[in-house]
Parts: sequence; C-alpha cells; structure tokens
Amino acid sequence: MTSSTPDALWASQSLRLLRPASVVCEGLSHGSRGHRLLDNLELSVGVGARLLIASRPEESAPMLLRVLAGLAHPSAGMVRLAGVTRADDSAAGWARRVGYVGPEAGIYPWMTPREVLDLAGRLAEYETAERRQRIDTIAEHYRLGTQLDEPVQRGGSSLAERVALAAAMLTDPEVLLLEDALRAVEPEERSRLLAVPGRRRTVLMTSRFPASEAGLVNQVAFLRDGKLLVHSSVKELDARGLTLSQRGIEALAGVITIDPQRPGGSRR
Amino acid sequence: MNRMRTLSWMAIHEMWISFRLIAVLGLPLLGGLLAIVVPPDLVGVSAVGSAGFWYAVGVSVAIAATAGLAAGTLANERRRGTVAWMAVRAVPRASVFMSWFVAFGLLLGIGIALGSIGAWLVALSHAEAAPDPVPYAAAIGATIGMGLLAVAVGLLAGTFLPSRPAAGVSVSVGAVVLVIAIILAPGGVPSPIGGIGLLSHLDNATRPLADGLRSAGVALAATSILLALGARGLERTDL
Repeated sequence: MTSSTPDALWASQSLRLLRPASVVCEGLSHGSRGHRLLDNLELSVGVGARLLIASRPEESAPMLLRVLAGLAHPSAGMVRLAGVTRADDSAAGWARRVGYVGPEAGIYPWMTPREVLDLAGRLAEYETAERRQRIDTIAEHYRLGTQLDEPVQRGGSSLAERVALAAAMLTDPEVLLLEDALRAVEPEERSRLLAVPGRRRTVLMTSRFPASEAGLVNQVAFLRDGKLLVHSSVKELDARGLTLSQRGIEALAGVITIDPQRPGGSRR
Repeated sequence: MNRMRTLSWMAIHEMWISFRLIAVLGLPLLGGLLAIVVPPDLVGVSAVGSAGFWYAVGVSVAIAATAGLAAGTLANERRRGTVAWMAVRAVPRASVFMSWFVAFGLLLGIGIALGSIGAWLVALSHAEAAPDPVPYAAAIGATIGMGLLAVAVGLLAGTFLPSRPAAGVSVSVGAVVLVIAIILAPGGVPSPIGGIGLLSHLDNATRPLADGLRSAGVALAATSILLALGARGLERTDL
C-alpha cells in the first residue's frame, strides 16, 4: 500500500486500520565497524507522517536521509519508499514518488528557476503541456513569479533553496526528504514553505535546530549510535512536558534526564 | 537517449558559462599556432615533420590541461551537489559521468581537428611540393583518441578525489606520459600515446597509417575501460 493507492481503496475503514507504511528500513547499516552511523536500523513510518529525526552522533540522521534518497549506499539492509525500492529507477517510480532537498541546492546558478523546474520535469518524463502546467502551479505556490526568468544566482542562496524545494515538489512526491533544508530562507517564509500540503504525503526531516521545526512535524525519532531508540508522536513529547528540541527528544528517548531545577539536564 | 542529450547539453552550457569551453577549444588551436611561430627549420626534415612536431608539443599541453579540467569539473560537481540533484531524480550516475565525457571529448576533438588544420596550412605554406596528407591525418586521428583517453583519466580521478588533487594528478600524469610520447620514436608495441609520438616524428614514420590506426584503436579501448571503471565508481560513491 502506498499513498498513490487509489482514493476508493483509501476510503475503506479496514485499510485505514492497517496503517500502511510509506518508509520502511530493514536492518539498515552504514559505515565500517569502527564508525557506524547506522547500525541494523529498523524504522517504519506511516503514510502522512511528518517525522523529525534527531541523532547522536549528529551525522547519523542526515546519513539516514541520504541513504533513503539513494545518495549514500548502505553496507547492509534495505529501504522501501512509497512502495518502491531504489532499484526502480524509472521516471514513474522513484523519480516522481520521492523528493529530496539537501543543505546544498545542487543547481547551476546560471539557470533560471523556470529552467530548473523544466529540467526536473523533463527528467521525470512529463509531456510538455503537463510540465508547463506543473511549473505554473509550483511557481505560484513558491512565489517565484517575478524571479522565474532570472538566473538563480541573482536571488542568492535563499532563492536557490526555494527553487530546489519547488523542483522537488514538482512531481508531487509521496515521500519528501528534507535534510536541514532552506536554512538561508527567512524563518517565517521557511515555515510556510516547509508546511507542505498533502495528507498522504510523508515528510522526513533532519535539522540542526529541532526547535525551529515546531509546528511542522507530528512525530519525532531519535537514533543513538545508529540504532532507533525512540519513535513517538509530538503529543507524547508534550504530554511529558518536554519541548521539541534536541534535549527534549533526547529526554524522551531516556538518554538524558531533565531536572526542572537544572535546565541543563544530565546525560546518561 | 533524450536524457543523455539533455545532460550533455547542460554540461556544454556549464562549460560555456564557466569559460572552460573556451579553454578546451582554444588550447589546441593555440597549439596549431605554435607551428606558425616556430621557424620550420628548427626541428624536422620536412615542413610537415616540423609542423607535426610543434603541433604535438602544443596539443600535448592542451590534452594535459583538459584532463585536469575534466577531473576538477567532476569533483566539483560532486561537491556542490549537482550530481546528487540528478541522482535523486533517478538519473543513473553513469549517465551524468558519460555526459561530461561527451562534452569534454567532443570539444577537445573539435579543438584538435581545428588546430591540426592550422598546423597543416602552415606546413603547406613552407613545403616545396604538395605533401601527402594521409600520414598527418592518421596521426591526428590517433591524437584525438589519446585526447579522449586523457579526458577519461581526468573524469576517473574526479570520481574519487577532491577537485584540486584530482586536477593535479591528471595534469601531472598527462604531462609525464605526453613528454615520453614526444621523446620516444613511434613503432614497436602499439600504445595509446602512439598518436602523439607519430605526430612528433612524422619524418621517421615508416607505416604511419597502420601505426596511427593501431594507436587510435588501443586508445579507444583503454578509454572505454576507464569509462566503465569511472561510471561504476561514481555509482558506488556516496554523494
């Protein structure tokens, strides 16, 4: 079951009870024995989740996203996103179903946003008419109108990052991976852009500043030495009086205890 | 095929914007001009032999520099996330690798061909009788094969190394190999650098067409092996 499953099937109550997973990691490992960022990781994320992943060491969570995006190769294990494995490199498979935005925009600065979006549409193998229609829609949502035909470098890294997100959203992906994305964008605008619509879209994100993702996520996960220690809802965090922050998530995972008298907390 | 054409066009456009296109096309042309600047009686018995030698020197510099540019370019593409941008859109990394080979190889090939026309025209202006163009053309063909091999070496280095080390290694290896090719007389065991050797010793070549074809064949075979290694290496690299 994936989020691309037809609406009629989603309407069935039994299906909703099944809570289909959109992102599945089984026995995922990365790195050598001495420096293992992911260690036999098991993770299942339901369709429609907005999950923030934190970790110790801090490199583990971004590495998980890079493995999920197919940019880094796991030494063991497998991943399945939106019902497809990485082996499926057809445009209708991976290219349209999974989007990734990293800390680097990764686009040529001489290109205009329209050219970037057009290239993304071409690589996803959309017909010309559909490509144009998608570009118009996405340009409006990401407020690229006035800058659509100017080189990205004129708008600086803020524009480059917005265009990178727009290009990722062009295909209306079922799974969106955000690795510390849009840091050059103003905080309010960033929150607006990262509040991606779609009840069946699953968003996984990592952030150097988890507190800045308040309101954008409804689940948190914590990895310690490459293993999943906790995967819980933000409500659980709230119920325990913890804030959405690195320390709050670590406290939820039981890695540190937070004494109200000593806000610094102590590490276990 | 459409995707490959799009990627290759992007690579050429990026080279144009960053002035690398001018360098890759222009250096072999400057090599051709070397034959004009240097007096024909300095090296070689015939006018073609002299023009060939100086063009071999000039084009060797161009080939080594292009290998360095290719290495630096691919390493930089990896570092700034452009390859990752393509990879997350299910573009095979081998396609990205090959698109850069097509861009560099095509431009270097055109540059060598145009430069060789310049050097040939210089030879014609100095020759007493009309020279036979076949040995010269065979040497140029083999030199283009050598150029493609150098681009493949550069891209392979750029697959695994950071930008500056990759460029440094490619230029150094290219320069040493090409100097050896210019110094050594052609013939004997066919080698991918035979084209440069043939070009720089045209007066002494006994079987220029056969030697040129063999060298071009060996260079293309070596190029295809390096391309396969590079494409596979890029597929296995973490971006």
